Amino acid sequence: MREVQLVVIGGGAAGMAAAVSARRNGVQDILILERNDSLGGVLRQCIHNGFGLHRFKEDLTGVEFAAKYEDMVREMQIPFLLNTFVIELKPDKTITAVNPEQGLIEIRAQSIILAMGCRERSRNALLIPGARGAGIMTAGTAQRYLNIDGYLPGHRIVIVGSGDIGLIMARQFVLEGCQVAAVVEIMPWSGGLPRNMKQCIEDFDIPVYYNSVIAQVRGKERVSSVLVAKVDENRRLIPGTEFEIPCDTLLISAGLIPENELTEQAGIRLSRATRGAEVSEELETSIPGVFSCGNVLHVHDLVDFVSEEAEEAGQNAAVWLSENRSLPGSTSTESTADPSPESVFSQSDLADDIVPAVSGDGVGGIVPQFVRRGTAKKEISFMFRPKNRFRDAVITASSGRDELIRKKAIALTPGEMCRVTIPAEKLAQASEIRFSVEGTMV
Amino acid sequence: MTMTSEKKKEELVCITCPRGCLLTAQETESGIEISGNFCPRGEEYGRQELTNPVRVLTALMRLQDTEKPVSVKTDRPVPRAKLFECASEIYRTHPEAPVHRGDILIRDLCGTGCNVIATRDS
Repeated sequence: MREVQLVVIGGGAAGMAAAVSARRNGVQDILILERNDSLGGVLRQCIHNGFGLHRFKEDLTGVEFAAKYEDMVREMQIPFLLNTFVIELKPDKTITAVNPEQGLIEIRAQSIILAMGCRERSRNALLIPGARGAGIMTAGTAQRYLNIDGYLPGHRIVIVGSGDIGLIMARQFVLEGCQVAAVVEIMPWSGGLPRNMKQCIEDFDIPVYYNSVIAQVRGKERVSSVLVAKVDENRRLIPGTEFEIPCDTLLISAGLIPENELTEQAGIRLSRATRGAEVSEELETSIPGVFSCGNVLHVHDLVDFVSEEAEEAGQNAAVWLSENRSLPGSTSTESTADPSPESVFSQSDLADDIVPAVSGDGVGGIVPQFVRRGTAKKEISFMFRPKNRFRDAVITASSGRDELIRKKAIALTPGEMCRVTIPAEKLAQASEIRFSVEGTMV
Repeated sequence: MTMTSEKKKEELVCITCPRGCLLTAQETESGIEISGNFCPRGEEYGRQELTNPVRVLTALMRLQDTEKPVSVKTDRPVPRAKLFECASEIYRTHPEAPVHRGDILIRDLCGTGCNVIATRDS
C-alpha cells in the first residue's frame, strides 16, 4: 500500500487551491486524485467572466481562473492522477481508487482534504411529471455539451429554476441565436445572484415566471412543450392556472448538492443544513486530519471564496501534519486508538471544549458548525445563507444575552451567502454563537 | 442619455463584481448621483449604465478543421447595444488551429476598439 502525507480528493477549484496552499506551507508529499481527464473541475466549462475579482483582483473567465491554479500546481510539481475515481474512503484514512492505467490503487494517507465539489439537482429530485423524451437535462450538462464538446443541445429552451448556471446559460443561448422562452421559478424570488438576473435575464428581456412550476412535460421522442402552472403560498399547484409553452429543451437549474458519498462512507458526521461535513474553525471534520473545503463542504456562490476556503484547509492540513508527524509511529496513531470516528457533539466529555454555531431566525447552513475553545485563530469567518429576502437587514451573532457582533446589510437574498467575521477573543466566554437576521422581508 | 426634464431616480444592481451592490441613481442639477455603492467602481458602473451600458462578451469560436470550440472573451467591455452584432462576428470567424490562451483572434471587433482573445488553448 502506497503511503502519502496528504491526499486531496478532487482536482477542481478547491482541490487545486488546497494542494497549492499545503505545498506553500511545507507539505512535500501531496497527491491529487481527479476523476476527470483534466484538472479544473466545473470551471473548465465556465467560459463566462466574473471570476477572480476577489482572489486575483482581475475579471477572469472560469477557464482562465482554473488555468491560473493549474499553472501553480504544475510549477510546484504537485503530483496528480487523472481519470482516477475514488471508490472507497475508510475511517483509518485508507483510500481505494481506480484508473485505467494502474487499475486498483490503495493509498494510506496521513491527512486528507475532501474537495469533491457538488452536483446539480436532477429532474427526479424535482419530481417533474410528464413525458421522458430527449431534451431534458441540467443546465450544467447543457453547459458542458456547448462549451467543451461544441454541441448546441436545443433551439427553443425553457429553464426550470433560477440558479446561476441556468441564468448564465440563458444568456449564452440567446447570444448563440436560440430562443429562451421562459425561466420558471417555484419561489417568489430568484435563486441566483442579483447581478446574473440583471446581466443574463433582464438585459435580454427573458420572461421569468415566479411562484410557478412545470406541471407537465409533453412530447414523445423529444420534448415538444411544457405546461407551466402557478403555485400557492404552500408551493402547491393551483389547478386551472396551466398554460403551454412550446420548447425542444428543458434545462434544470434548481440547486446544487455537495457530493458527500465518500464522506458518509468514512463515517464522517454530516450537517443536515449544508449536506456537507460538520467542521471546526480549522475546517477539520469529525475524523482528525481529514479536512473539507469548497462546494463539497457547502455550496458557494463564488469560486473566489471556494479557493480562499481551500487555501485555508491546505494550510490547516499542513499545520496538523507538522504537529502529528513528530509522534512516534506517525501515520495512524489516533485512528488505531479510536477506530470509530465519533462526532464531537456526541462525546459529552468534549462538549465543554467547543462552542457550537446555531441558526437563529432567518438563518440556515452555518459553516463552520463549531469553534474549539482556545482556538489558535485570531478571528473566525462564518458563512451562512439568509432564509428569506430582506431589506435594511441587521445580522447579529449572540451568546445568550451577549451580543458578539452586529452588522448591517442593505439587502439580503438566499441566493447570496453572508460572511461574518468574529474575533476569537469574543468567543472565550460564549456558550454558543447564535446567528440571526432581522429586517423587512421583501 | 434618456433622462429628460423630469428628475429620474433609478435602482440598479451593480454587476462589476459578485457583491452585487444595490445602487440608487438620482439625477440632480449637477448630473447623476450614485449611492449605495461599496467601491468607486460602483459609481462608474452606475453612470455608465445610465448613459451607455457595456458588457464583457464571452463566446465560443469554432476553429477550422477542429471539432471542439475555443472559448473567447472581449478584452474590454463592448456596448450592450452591440452584443448581438459582436457575437455574430465571433461566430462567423473560424481561425486556424492551434490557438493559445491570450492569442488575439479578432482585432477591433465591429468597430468597438475591443479585441477578441482566446481564453484557453485549442
